[in-house]
Amino acid sequence: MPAIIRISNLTKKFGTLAAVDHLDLEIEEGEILGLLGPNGAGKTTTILMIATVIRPTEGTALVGEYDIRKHPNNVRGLLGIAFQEPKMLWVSTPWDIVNWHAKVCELPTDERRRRVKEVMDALDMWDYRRKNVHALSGGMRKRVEIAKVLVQRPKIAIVDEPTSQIDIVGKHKIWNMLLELRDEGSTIILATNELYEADILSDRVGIMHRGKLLVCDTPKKLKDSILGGDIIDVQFEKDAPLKVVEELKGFKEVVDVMQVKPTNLRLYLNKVEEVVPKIMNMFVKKDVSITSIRMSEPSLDDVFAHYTGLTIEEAQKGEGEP
Amino acid sequence: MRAIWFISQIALFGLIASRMINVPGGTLTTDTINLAPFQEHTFQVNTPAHLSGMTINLSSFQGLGEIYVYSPNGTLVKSDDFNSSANLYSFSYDFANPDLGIWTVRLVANASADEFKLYAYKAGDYFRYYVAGLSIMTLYSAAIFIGFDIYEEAEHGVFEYLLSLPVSRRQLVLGRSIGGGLRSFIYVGPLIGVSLYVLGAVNPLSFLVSLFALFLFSFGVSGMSITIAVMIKSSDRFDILMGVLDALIVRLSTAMYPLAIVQAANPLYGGVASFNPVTFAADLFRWGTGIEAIISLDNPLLPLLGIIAFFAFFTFVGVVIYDRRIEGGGWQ
Amino acid sequence: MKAVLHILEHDFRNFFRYKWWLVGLISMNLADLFIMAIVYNYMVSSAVTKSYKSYFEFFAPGLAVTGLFASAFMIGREINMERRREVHHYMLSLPMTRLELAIGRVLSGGLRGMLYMSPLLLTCFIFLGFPDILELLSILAVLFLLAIGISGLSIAIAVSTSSLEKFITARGLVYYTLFFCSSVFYPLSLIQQLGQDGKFPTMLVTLAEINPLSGASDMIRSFLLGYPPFSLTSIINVLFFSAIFTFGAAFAYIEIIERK
Repeated sequence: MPAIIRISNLTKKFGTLAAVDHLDLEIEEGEILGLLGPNGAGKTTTILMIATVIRPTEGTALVGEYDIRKHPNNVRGLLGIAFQEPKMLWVSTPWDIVNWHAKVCELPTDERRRRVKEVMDALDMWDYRRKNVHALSGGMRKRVEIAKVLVQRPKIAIVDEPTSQIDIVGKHKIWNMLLELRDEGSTIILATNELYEADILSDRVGIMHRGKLLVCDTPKKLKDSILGGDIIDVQFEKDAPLKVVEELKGFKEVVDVMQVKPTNLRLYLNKVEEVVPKIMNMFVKKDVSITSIRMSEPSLDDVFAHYTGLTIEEAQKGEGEP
Repeated sequence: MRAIWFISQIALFGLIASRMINVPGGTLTTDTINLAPFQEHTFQVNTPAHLSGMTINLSSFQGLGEIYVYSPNGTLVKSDDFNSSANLYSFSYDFANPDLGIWTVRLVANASADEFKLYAYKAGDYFRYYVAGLSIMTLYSAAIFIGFDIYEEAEHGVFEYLLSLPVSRRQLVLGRSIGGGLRSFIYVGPLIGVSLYVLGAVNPLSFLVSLFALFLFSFGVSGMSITIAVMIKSSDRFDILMGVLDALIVRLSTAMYPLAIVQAANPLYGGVASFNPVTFAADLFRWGTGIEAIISLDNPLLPLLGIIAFFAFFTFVGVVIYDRRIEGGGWQ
Repeated sequence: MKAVLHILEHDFRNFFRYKWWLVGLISMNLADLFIMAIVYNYMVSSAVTKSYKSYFEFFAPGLAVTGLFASAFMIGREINMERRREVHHYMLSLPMTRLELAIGRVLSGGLRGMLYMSPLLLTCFIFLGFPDILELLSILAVLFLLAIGISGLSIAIAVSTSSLEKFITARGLVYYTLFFCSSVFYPLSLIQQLGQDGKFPTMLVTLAEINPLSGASDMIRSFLLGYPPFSLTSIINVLFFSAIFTFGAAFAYIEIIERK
């Protein structure tokens, strides 16, 4: 698909601190792009620049055919954004907020009413629609924030940590609704520091750290890029024969074999899903009895650590969004 | 913000308004006199010659008439004719240097006046009168604030935390009332200092008595605010009630005008003002700072007892409510 | 234009959500008129009564202006709060131009002031007599200009101050100076007299004379009470004030609100 957003040399500096540092990125139409990184990585700042809420120090971005610097009004016509922190006055009610947002986005009256009811029902907010935001929990306020974008169904949706403070059932509902939004043709930029969320939703994941984009690819390719990232633990009935160990090392996908115990081998390899059948065939041919086999893939945290030398938790210590 | 309000009230409103407002320096007659048509009434000016004016208010009067004021040497100094179909006619005369002696007011009309009161004023005193009242208004609004703090604490769960502590409910409510009052006193202290500078030298003993009364007043107001806050448990309703109370309680008191004037304006207003703790506090403060006794009060004991009763009532009610009814949760 | 209407809807709805503040303000205004002004009737000197029958009559037009002032000024507080909580990011992300957003905010502040003031103005007419149609239109036009000017002034203060403390200080200084240094509570002639006697700074006397609150209050008095004489200069003051602060605020809002 063609790129709907082209970011070129985008930079934002606060004093001497480069919150976003010469970012180059293209986002394809109809994809969900996950922006993953710890707090202070520059995700929210990037989003705010694309949404023309703050001005870049250098560089620009094309959203559709519009430059964020030259045609910000047109850019905003294509976007809908759900902020990281719910942006609402506490005297308002969820109904007021979501309904008004739909009016501003020029939804026809009947369509607006239908969508507002539908989305608020889906997010279990209908019964709370007339309560002051002041009286709602953090999770409910977050639902109000995401509801605005789900009602609007913009061409490009930007969602910043859409399920933070929300319970697990709510998270799944919102994830499903975001996937539906994508399937209807919207492009979604998902900023998050929740690894599982980025993994299951994103078509591609861009990893950011200290204002820079380190890498951007599909989750599978990112995981596969870690040499020996997949792990298989094999438990043998008897001590593992030496010949079997040598044979295992012979597979080109296997990076290393470690004997944890005489009856337990750990294999570090790539493309585990392709290699496991070959290994099983070999065990059968050699008449080797195994009692169990356990497989695991690297997580996006492992990917992050691979590219930065730190886990996300370690990177988050002492960072903060500018 | 409160300091800015206070200073602007003194420097602007107080200063300018005192030019147009006369407070009674003393009533030359307080009798209700029925004036028959064509009747003359005389009054004696015996007070020192610093009077600045007088006002004659005729109530329950209808129709055409004329009024004349003659100085002690018989000179006509002012006259006016009126056509009044309202229930109030007000005639003012400003003295330059009033002669001591018998002054005459002559009413010429074809109907009678039910009420005829004469006040002698000392111009410029309104400024000092108002500054004293302003100090009390500021103290009141600072002391009431503790109630808003309760809602802030409830929002963050701190209120429930305080209830969980090994402190009796009685100690909790007393501590908060006294703390709230003390806090407001400290906050308003510099502003009261400014007032004292404006008001001038004081009798130390009476000042200490009035200061003690102000302490009790601020504790009582804090106690009232806390009690209402925990009874209502709804921040919206509390805000509304406090707004209305603030508007009424200050205006139906002697913070801005003497009780005699309030009573003359409307007996109902005067009735409410007579039992208003802001009235007690304002009058005691004026007495303590030596503003003319004749316009504040002769006997400080009554308002002092009033403030003690106010403090005791809300402390007692507060203790009872805290002991028997208070519990966490349920905040709206 | 549609975007401006959306902003008006947003701000008007929020205005009525502040029930507690509205009730407090209404109580204060009514108490000022029906308690304070009535009691002051018995205390005012001939400085007032030689030109006005009573203080109540003098004060009633001023009360309508103070109500308009207080309610139009409130938009600044909301905008400052939005800025501190970064709610303004949401407003900036909406599909409308910055100018539409700014004009919408200034207009809504002013119209809210007009709405709140209208029952007070009606009360004034009930007690003082109704103006003729031309006078009524003039009163409404001038008050509308005053309202948007005040709204603009309030917004300009709100976006120019970064912290809550600075905002409260700046707001208080401007608010109370304009409020008390005007002919709302006392005749302008009294302030001028104080200036001539050397008891009031000349700068403040001049401020009271050019204060748009004075102009608006005295205009209503001139129509309803016949005094003071109608002054075109004071209306022009209101016009200038409104023009400066309406457009100034709009541009300040656009420029400053995008800064981070």
